[in-house]
Parts: sequence; C-alpha cells; structure tokens
Amino acid sequence: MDTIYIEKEVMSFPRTQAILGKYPNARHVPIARYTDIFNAPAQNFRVQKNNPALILAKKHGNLVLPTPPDYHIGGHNNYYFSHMLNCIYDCRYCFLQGMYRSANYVVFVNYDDFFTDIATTTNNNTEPSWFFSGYDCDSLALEPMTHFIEQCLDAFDNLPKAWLEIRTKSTQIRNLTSRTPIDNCVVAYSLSPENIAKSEEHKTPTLNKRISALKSLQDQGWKIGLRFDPLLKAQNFEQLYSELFEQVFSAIDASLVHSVSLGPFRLPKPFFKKMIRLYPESALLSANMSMRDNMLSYDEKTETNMLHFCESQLKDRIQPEQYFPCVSVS
Amino acid sequence: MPAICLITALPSEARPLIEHFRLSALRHKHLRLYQGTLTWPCLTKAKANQTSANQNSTIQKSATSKEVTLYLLQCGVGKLNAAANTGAMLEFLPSINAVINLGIAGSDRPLGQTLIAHCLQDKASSQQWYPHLPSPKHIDNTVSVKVQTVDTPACNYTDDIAFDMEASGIVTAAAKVLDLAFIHSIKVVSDNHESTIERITSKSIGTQLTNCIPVLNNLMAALPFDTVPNLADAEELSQAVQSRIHFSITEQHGLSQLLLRHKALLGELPSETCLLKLATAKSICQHLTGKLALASISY
Repeated sequence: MDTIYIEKEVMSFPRTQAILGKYPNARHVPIARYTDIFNAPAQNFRVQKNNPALILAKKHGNLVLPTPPDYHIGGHNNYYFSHMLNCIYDCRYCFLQGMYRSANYVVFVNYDDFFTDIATTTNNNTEPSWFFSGYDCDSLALEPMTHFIEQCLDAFDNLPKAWLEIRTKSTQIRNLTSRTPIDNCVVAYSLSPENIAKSEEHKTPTLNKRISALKSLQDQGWKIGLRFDPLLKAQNFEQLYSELFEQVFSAIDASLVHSVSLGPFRLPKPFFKKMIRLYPESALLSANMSMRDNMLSYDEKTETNMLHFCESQLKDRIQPEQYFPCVSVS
Repeated sequence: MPAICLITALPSEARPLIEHFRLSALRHKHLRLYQGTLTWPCLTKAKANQTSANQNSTIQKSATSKEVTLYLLQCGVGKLNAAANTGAMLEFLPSINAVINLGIAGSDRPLGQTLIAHCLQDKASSQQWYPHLPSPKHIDNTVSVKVQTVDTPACNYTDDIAFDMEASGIVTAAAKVLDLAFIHSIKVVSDNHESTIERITSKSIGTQLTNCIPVLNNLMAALPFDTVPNLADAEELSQAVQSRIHFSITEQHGLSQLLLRHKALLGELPSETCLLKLATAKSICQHLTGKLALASISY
C-alpha cells in the first residue's frame, strides 16, 4: 500500500494507528471525508486497480442493510454489511468494477458501530437474523491488516440469535483456525472451475488452495458453505463444472456442509456498460448477453440449462435442505 | 505512442524544460506550445500476445525503451489563464494522454525542494482533486503536499501546503478529458518564511526548475499508460470501413462495439476486405452480429 488517505476524524483511532503501522513507507494524506476521493469523477477503475490506495474512514448510518429478496440461505431476516469497499482480487465478472468509480480500498475503522447495529437489528427480530459479510469486498482477504473478522466473531459469539456468513475466496484463515469455532457462523467460499479461476479471477488463490482452506476449516469444526457463483458460460461448461464438483466433494465431507448455492451471471445494465468500457478485450464480457428484469445475463435457455446441469450434479452429493438456489429454475 | 503535455506559467519556468528536452516551437495562433520526443529505457509491463480468445494472457516484465511525444504549454499566470489555455491545448491536441503542471510555489519547506501534489485545491471555491499518485519509490520518495491555488500571492506558509496560482485551473480543464492518474502537479519551493516572494528571480526559478527534472522524468516513466486498453486498431478499421460505406451515428457506435467484441471473442479483427464486400452498414453489422452469436469461450 503506497498511499493511505485518512479521514481526520479517525486519525487518532487506535485501529487507524495500528493499520498505519503496518505500512511504514506509505505516504499519508489527511482528508475530510472518504467520499471526496472515492466518489470523485475523472477516475479510472482499471488504472487504479493496478496500484490502489487505502482509505481509512468512518462509516456513518446504514451500517446494516437488508439483502435483495433472493439473497439468503434459509433465514427470514437477512442483512448485509460492508466494513470494506472494494477487493484486492480482480475478478473480471465482479460487479464492483461497474458500481464504483474508484478501485481504492475503503476500510471503515469504526468496527464497534457495526457490531452495535448488528446487535440492535438482531434484538429487533424475534426470529434469528442472518448477516452477510463480503458483499462489497472479500471478507477475509485483508484480514491480516484489518482484523475485522477476528473481532466480528467475538461479537457474534455473544449473539446466539444472529448468524454470520463470511463470504470469501481468501485463504487468510489464521484468525479462524486459531480459535474455537462458533456455532452461528458459516464460512462460505466462492468457487469456480480451475481454468475459469485462472482466466477470470485474477490475483485470487487457486481452486486447490481454496479447497484446502475449506477442508482445514471443516476439519476444525467450522460450518462451511459452497457458493458456485457466478456460473460462467463456456463451450466446455459441463466438463469444467463436473470436474469442479468432483474436486470439491472429494476433499470435504458433504454431509457436514452447511449450505450450497448456485448463482447465475447477472449484472445491472449500467454496471455492465461501464465494465465493457474498462475491459473491451474481455471475452467474458463480450459474450452474447440478453436483458431480463433490467439485468444483463446469458439468454434464459442457456442459463436454465447451466443451472439444471449443476443441480443434477449436486443432487447426488448433497441433501435438498443443504441447497439454496439464488433463483428458482423453471 | 503516448503524449504528455508539461504546463508551466512563466517563460522562466518553461525555458529550462525546453532546453533540457530539446523542444521546438509549435506554431499556434494563440497558444505558446513546444514539441519534442522523449525516449528513455524503463521497465514496462507488457502484455503477452493473447494466444487464444479465452484471455489466458500473462503479464511479463521486460526491459524496453519507452517513447513519448512531449509537449510544453506556457499558459501564463493565474488560474483563468491556466484553465483557458489548457482547455484550448487539449482541443488542439486531442492525442494528449497526460498533463503535468510544473512551477514554483510557496511553502514552509527548504528553498528548491521538489514537491508533488497529493491534493489540488482551489482556495476560492474549496473544490479539490486528488491525483492518483504512483508509488513513492517510483518518484524518488518525493514529498507530497496539498497544492492550494490562490488568486493573489500568499505568504502564510505551512509545511503541508504549497501555494501556487495555476494548478486548480489546469486540473479543472484537464479533468474533463483525462483521468486523475494522468494529471499531476510538481512544485519547487521558491519562497518561504526565510526567503519571501520578493526575492524570487528569473535565474532562481530556472535553477529550481532544472533541479526538479529528475523527479519529472521518473513521474513520466511511472504514468500507467500500459493499463489503458488499446483501441487504436479497432478504431482504425472502423474509420477505414466508414470512409467507404456510410454509417449513421448509431451504426458507427454499433460497428465499434462489434469490432471490439470480435477481437475479444475471436482473437482478431475481421478483415477489411471482407467487410467492404458487404456494401452496406446494415449488412456489415448483421454479418458481425451473426458471427459473434456463434462464438463461444472455451476455458
């Protein structure tokens, strides 16, 4: 991290100072609000992705938000939160490229405010509440720097009515494996076939490393989740995904998997338009797409076939109660 | 070849740069412009040729020489001159990919110290911009400060601000067409508490600007031109086809998109001869659309 922008309001926070201490050679730039930089015009996501800066900020309001209706793994009260905006990985399909003007990483250092909001939201519901981390970032990728999840787990340990999903592609699991698993947490890995991961998920851990991390967590007693999301169209789709399921389920105990979900590739049109402008050479983004429900996606027949194939592969390996499709297949 | 325009306010700021880079005057009715070519060996990130349509490319580091077209604009004193001249220059030279403002500034730092702006602020409006800076190690760990553009010379010096009179005008105009990773401001301390503005001379400015040239060179070498997609060949083909066949504005956009998708999915652009045989814009677009519908990705 070469440049760190720091909101003056958080400059003296111990957490800010701890993070700054990890980058002794970075230039420090004091700022009033992170939005002055993050939302500013005349920025190029692709250029910044090459050398992103870190922004340390305080999140005000809306710390915990309801998820979209289809985004759940069985719970009725579903929320997401983002202690960080943007991701160290560079997945070509990622909607963050289309959503944000900046590729700089924002870390909100007022963790306690997140935990307070999570507790308040949980206590306002009679039924259990689910909280999804990793919507606007990868939950674990910068954990050695932020230690957010480490502290988040302490908070959830005291909230038995709250469930936490940690969504990640990262193998930075030391802060999990160094403690006793908590019952109300699912560590969910996004998984793609090895060749797709190599081509489209730049800077991510290999599939084998992710599977190893899953196995370590499962062996230690953590609940794990499998997220085959997004499903990407390919001429050799069936071969790729058959191999993926074989690799994953031969390494882990399927009966102990908390949940499995599939997600079709879908993007809001404005995001897609921005992404193709950034990466016109991307074959993935240049493929034929169609508009449905204000989203760009593969045509309905292709998408249904892809989902059906994956469901048929999963049917033999997991129980129906473990499966949560992101969309219903007609 | 990328094009960079250096922008200074004063002739005495421009002179050492013109001499160092051996720039020659470029004829223009209203602008003071100079032009030259710059080559220097550097490490660049080169993308290996894509061997297939699946984007399975690798990034290789190779020692190459980098060549840029270098322009210099002497814009005159004050932010209005700076904005007006920068805007006119960018209109006249649309190939410019980056602008770098160089000049003297007041700050409570040692005379002659070279600074780079991490923030450009217009004092009158409080509007500010944050250039996306390269790594400090790529620019000799040059100290970064806020460059505050004032309407009249200021002398309330601090060490975290450098006062100038043009930077906000330049960025106002340049940010309309360039990203903030390609708009920078390098300042040399010309006055401080110990040596106030009255002691600045044409000679001292010349010496100070000469001293900042190594940082300027490193900044130019670190500009991330390689990360911007190269659309030139698709654009060239599009122009060639349009010079022979009439395309409406909508069809022109459609053609550009289809050509880029063709290259991304099939690994190359379609042949010009093949496209020209089709005779109408509609048939060309239909042909390309049909071809792309059959294209598939294999991983």
